[in-house]
Amino acid sequence: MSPDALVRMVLFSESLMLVIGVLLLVAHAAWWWWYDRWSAGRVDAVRASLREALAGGDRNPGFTRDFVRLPMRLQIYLLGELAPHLTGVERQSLRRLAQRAGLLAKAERLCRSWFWSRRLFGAKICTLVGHPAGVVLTLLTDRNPSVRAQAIEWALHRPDPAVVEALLGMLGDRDGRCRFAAQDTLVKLGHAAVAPLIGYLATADHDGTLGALEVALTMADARLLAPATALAGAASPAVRARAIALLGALGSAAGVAIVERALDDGAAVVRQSALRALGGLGHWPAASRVAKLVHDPVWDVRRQAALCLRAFGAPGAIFLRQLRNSDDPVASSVARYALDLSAIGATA
Amino acid sequence: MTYALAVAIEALMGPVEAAVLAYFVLINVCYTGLLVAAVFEMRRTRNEAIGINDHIVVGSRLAPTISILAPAYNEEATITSSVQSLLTLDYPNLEVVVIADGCKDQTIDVLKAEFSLVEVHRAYAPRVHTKGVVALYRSVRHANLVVVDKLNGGKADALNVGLNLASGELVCAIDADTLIERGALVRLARPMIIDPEVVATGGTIRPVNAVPTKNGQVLDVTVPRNMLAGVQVVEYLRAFLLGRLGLNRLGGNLIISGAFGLFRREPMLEAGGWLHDTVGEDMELVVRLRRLGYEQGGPSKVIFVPDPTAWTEVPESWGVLGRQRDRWHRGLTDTLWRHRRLIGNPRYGAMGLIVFPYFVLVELLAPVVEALGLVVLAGSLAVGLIDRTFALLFFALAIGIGLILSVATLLLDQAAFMRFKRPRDLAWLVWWSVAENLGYRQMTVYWRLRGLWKYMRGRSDWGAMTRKGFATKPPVSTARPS
Repeated sequence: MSPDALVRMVLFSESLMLVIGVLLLVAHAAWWWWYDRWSAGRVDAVRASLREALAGGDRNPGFTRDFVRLPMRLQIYLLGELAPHLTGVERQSLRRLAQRAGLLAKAERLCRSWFWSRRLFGAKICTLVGHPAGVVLTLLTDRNPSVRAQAIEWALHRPDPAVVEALLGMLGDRDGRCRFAAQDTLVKLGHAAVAPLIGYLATADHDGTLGALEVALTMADARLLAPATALAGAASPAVRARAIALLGALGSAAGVAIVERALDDGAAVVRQSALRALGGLGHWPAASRVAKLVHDPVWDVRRQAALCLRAFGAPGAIFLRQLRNSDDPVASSVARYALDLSAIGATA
Repeated sequence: MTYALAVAIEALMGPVEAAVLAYFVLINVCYTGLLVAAVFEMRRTRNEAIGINDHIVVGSRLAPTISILAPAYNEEATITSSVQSLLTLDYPNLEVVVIADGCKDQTIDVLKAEFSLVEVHRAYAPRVHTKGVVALYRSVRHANLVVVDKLNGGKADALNVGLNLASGELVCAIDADTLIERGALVRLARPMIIDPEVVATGGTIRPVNAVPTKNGQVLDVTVPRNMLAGVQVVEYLRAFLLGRLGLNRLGGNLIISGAFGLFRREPMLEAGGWLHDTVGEDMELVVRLRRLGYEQGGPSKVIFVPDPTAWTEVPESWGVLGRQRDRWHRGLTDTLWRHRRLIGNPRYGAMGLIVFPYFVLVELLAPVVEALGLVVLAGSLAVGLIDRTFALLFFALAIGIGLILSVATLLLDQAAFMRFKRPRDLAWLVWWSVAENLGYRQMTVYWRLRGLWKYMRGRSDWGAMTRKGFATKPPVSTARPS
């Protein structure tokens, strides 16, 4: 084949591809234009009848008829739009409506699908309507992390011990989105997760302990005092720092004593955590010890010490004013900064 | 004599022609590979978005704190709307650090008045060396707003001051005139939450010219009718959705746009922040972070996320655009030269074996070979080595491949995000894809060659950039002296 013929052939193929590309672009735009108009009216109608059904004790046959006619993505969209704002009776009504429309049975079927994207949709529907289907439990160990993360979010609707145990096990999941979702769900479960969390903290590995302490810190339940006290003496500075933060959040006399001792810890991250905890508690009797840390070799500790003094109010301000005239330029600088922040009432 | 010259040219043209042709094939194979990779990657990122819902992150107390670093140089026209839009972003733990880089206009006064700023004593750990800080301000109304007034030191220096002052675990570097979509930060942070190995993420930048905005938010997406701005819409789409998305799958990215990028703060501080003595500080930083990650075993992945979008004003004058492209190419050349030992080095994995050679062969040398190709084509035509029809056909073929890539990128964008809803906007986009081949592309070759030449002569100036601003205020000059 001559070069001329080859170029002509390639050019012809290119033209063909270009025409197909432009046609696809036009077809997609035309489809979207049609779909947008087609769905807009229906979605509005279903949204109105859904609101009506929820307000009128879920007796609205029109809703079921209109709802089942919508594509699944739009059904999920509508539920996703409304569900987070519903609680109690309204949420139960929503679940009954979804059941009547056949959506719950469909969701359970989807959860058993071979395709992960369908399992994901199934779990998503169950999460949105708060359907405690047993099949979603099996998705907590799904091989696909997106599905696992969705199942974790669903677990909020089924706070039994087995589920909480499974969630705790996922604090060390190899996928970050699952770890994050597990932490978030445990925090939202609150009271139901505290006892298993205490048990978990006694046996977990390093990463699991860090994740669990993060959850515990957000919960700040008094029952967590014992594990926090135990972990305040852990070998890992990161674990010690979080345990000290937790003790600060719990705020008992015994806990505060441990936090005060942590001001002398060899790891800067622990000293910083102790300062933040004491500041949060407003434990002004520790002001003189905190003031010494404004001369700490680590800058972040100095800054935190100044902010801690600021948080103590008037007793801390006395120390800060003294430190403002210190010979140590860094101590003087952070003290001035903390005093300026006090003047404008800003948080740092 | 004429015959002898023709023979000599013919002898010279043969191998050069073959080399240019081989390069032409290589570059298009690379682009096709990127396109295929981008399609798979788009699917993956869309699925990932379903797996961890935005509302979980937004509603979570466990989300990592993000400090937005917004350097500003003479931005009085746009600073208020920019900061307002930053303060209203959908993210639970957010800090906004505005760094006024020795502004000569009223930027600081505008900020003081609009956000009730009060000066506080400047105390921070200077972990990265920077030029002096003149004053530090905090807002009485917005507890999470910090404003720094500093001596002029250029964008890199301003960002480094912000890095020193930031308290977030993650820092987001933006240009002060960039508009970020409300939900963009959550989506940009998602890969960081999922994978601790990710050191930086970047989002898509789209031109805001001709797009209506209100209170720092985009109201409607339209395509500019101005040729330069319109062509750049297509060009940006191709660069982000084809180039960077494709590279995600083929060994990771080397560039996170300076206008919108998220980084882990601690590795940044350890790496020494942004370099002052380069015009390509955003690319240089990413390469250095990845390199250190490989060498010291820290996080080294750099991910481009297609759905979070930031909007920025692109030049509408040939002069300004030329200076911008010339600077970009100098930055690229400088970064590749500084880190030249990575090329083909298996120690740096796919970055050394695939991404770096791609950047050298395709991104750096493309203008040289393209210019050489044009010279060879003209020379061959002059001495009758190839006939005119063949030359025209070949030229059309080269343009056709570019067009196919542009249309494929538009399809990918529309299928994934459906940003352009009006058929006439699509028609304009297709037209701009065609029009960019008629002069614009050839000019970019010239500007990039000029950048390469300037780099070899040791020039490192930024060039002036004129912006209109999003508000209805008169244009201001935002030239960066250093």
